[in-house]
Amino acid sequence: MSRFTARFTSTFGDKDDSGDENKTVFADESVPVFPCYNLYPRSSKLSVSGNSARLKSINLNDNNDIEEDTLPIRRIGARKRDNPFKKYQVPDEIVDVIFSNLRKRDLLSAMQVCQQFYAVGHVSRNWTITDVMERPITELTLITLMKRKIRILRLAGAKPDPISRVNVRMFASCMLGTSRIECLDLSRANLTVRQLLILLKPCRKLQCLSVEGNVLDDQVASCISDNKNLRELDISMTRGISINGARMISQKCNNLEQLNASWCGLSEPILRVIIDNITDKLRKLNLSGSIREDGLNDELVDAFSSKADNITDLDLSDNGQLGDAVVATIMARFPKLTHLSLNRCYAMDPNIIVHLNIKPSLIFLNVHGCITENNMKLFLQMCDRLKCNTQLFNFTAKPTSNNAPFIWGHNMLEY
Amino acid sequence: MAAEAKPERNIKISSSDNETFTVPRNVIRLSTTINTLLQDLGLDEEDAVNTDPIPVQNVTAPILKKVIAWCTYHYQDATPTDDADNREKRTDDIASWDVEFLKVDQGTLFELILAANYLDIKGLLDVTCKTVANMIKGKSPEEIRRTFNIKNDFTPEEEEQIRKENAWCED
Repeated sequence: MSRFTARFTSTFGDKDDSGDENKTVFADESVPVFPCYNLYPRSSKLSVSGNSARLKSINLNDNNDIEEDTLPIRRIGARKRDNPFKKYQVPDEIVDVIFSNLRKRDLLSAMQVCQQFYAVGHVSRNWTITDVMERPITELTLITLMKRKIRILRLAGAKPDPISRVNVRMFASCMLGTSRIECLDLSRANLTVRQLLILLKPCRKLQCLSVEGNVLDDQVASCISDNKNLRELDISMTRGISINGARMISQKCNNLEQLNASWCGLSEPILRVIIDNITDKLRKLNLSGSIREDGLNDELVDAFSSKADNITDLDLSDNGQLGDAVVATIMARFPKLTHLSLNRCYAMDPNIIVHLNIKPSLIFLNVHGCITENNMKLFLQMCDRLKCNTQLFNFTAKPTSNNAPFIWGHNMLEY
Repeated sequence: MAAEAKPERNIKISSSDNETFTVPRNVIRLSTTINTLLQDLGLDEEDAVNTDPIPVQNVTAPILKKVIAWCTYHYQDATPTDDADNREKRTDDIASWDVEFLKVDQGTLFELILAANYLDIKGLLDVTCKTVANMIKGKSPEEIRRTFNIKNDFTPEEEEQIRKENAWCED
């Protein structure tokens, strides 16, 4: 369908252009003596020899307004067309309706045409859902985007320019602004702290946020914590979280339904802060890959198991300190748990893990790496009620799964 | 036009240059402006047949004629659903009749847009705006300026700034 659109518009454009060209040729040939070349001095317009006049009659300038002055004779209705937007005083609302039919790329072209188009395009509703995935970006790009009416913004895998900076005033005014963004996907964008602040500081209404793979120092954490309505937060694989940062986020964002804090260097004290603030609103939790020897342990799991009755999806993979006591905790608590991942938790005894088969709510159990190949057949026989090792990835609080064009359920495709 | 005793009622409207048109009530229903006017003024009553034509001040006779032609073709269409979240930017879905209908010069097209806006005919406004959008699609800013003869009123500095802002969308 999109190919058809492209062909359609290009033929449309070609036709229009060729029409223009024909008119140009016609006009030039029929008026061979008079120079149209605008840079040509006005005083000598009547005294040109045939040859140079022909050369100069080639119109190199598109601006017809000046031509009007240079030509001594104007044929009625010859190639002169008025700007319809000006002639009919087309109001901004109508320009806005016209722009609502454009994709971002065409909208951006149109915005470069004139002041009116820029002003209308800048506040267009067209920006509600904006996809900058895997695009090169600068601080200026980000600041401009933050001023538009964006609700859903995807910057996943964007290629930020770490050097170019905006001036101090522009940065300061951005820090004071507010944004209506609700869903923000910054995963794998690897932004600088300044760029992260440009994006996060104005945000108060975030509901879903992924900062996967970015820096998460206290400044960034403080910005995140200003979004009390946050429902899904993905801080997996971030660097730099402190106890203080974790406290700000987990105390203020107390409406979280999904939290993915996997592989972000969580130490035992940081985990304790997070677990202390868990509410019964939490449904999905991923705490895999905490710090070795100083990370998630049996006691911490026991501590939060009593407060998170509504958890349905729990990923505790790659936590070597977790032992058999955790299995007992899971058996006794988490009445709604359906998905459980204990991949590579080597300290757990497979003979204990098989008891999970009789946990009534549980459906999916992932224990990659926990069972030796020889024992796998036996293990599967004993866990006959469960679907074992069917999932490779955990999508808790992730914007998208399997490269779908959706982030948190919002379609990013432009038709 | 002979108005028979059949239930189909006719409404008279007059253009800005005082030409009068007689349009079936069902057809002019597409203009929310006139529809509301008729309802508000109680002109839908049975006895209110022979009234003065409704003046449509901002629209000239040739344009009004085209507008009526469009309404006459489309008055039986299903009313478009008014979904604010509809963000499909498809402009290749213009019906072939409309494509033919809108093969007009730029001036007429823009006058139709203004008329559709003034008379509040959503379908006509949509399709005319889509046609203009099609004239913008796939073009560079300079090509768009040439298409509509728009003057570049940016300073070179502004132009550079905007180009930098929007660089992310380039290939």
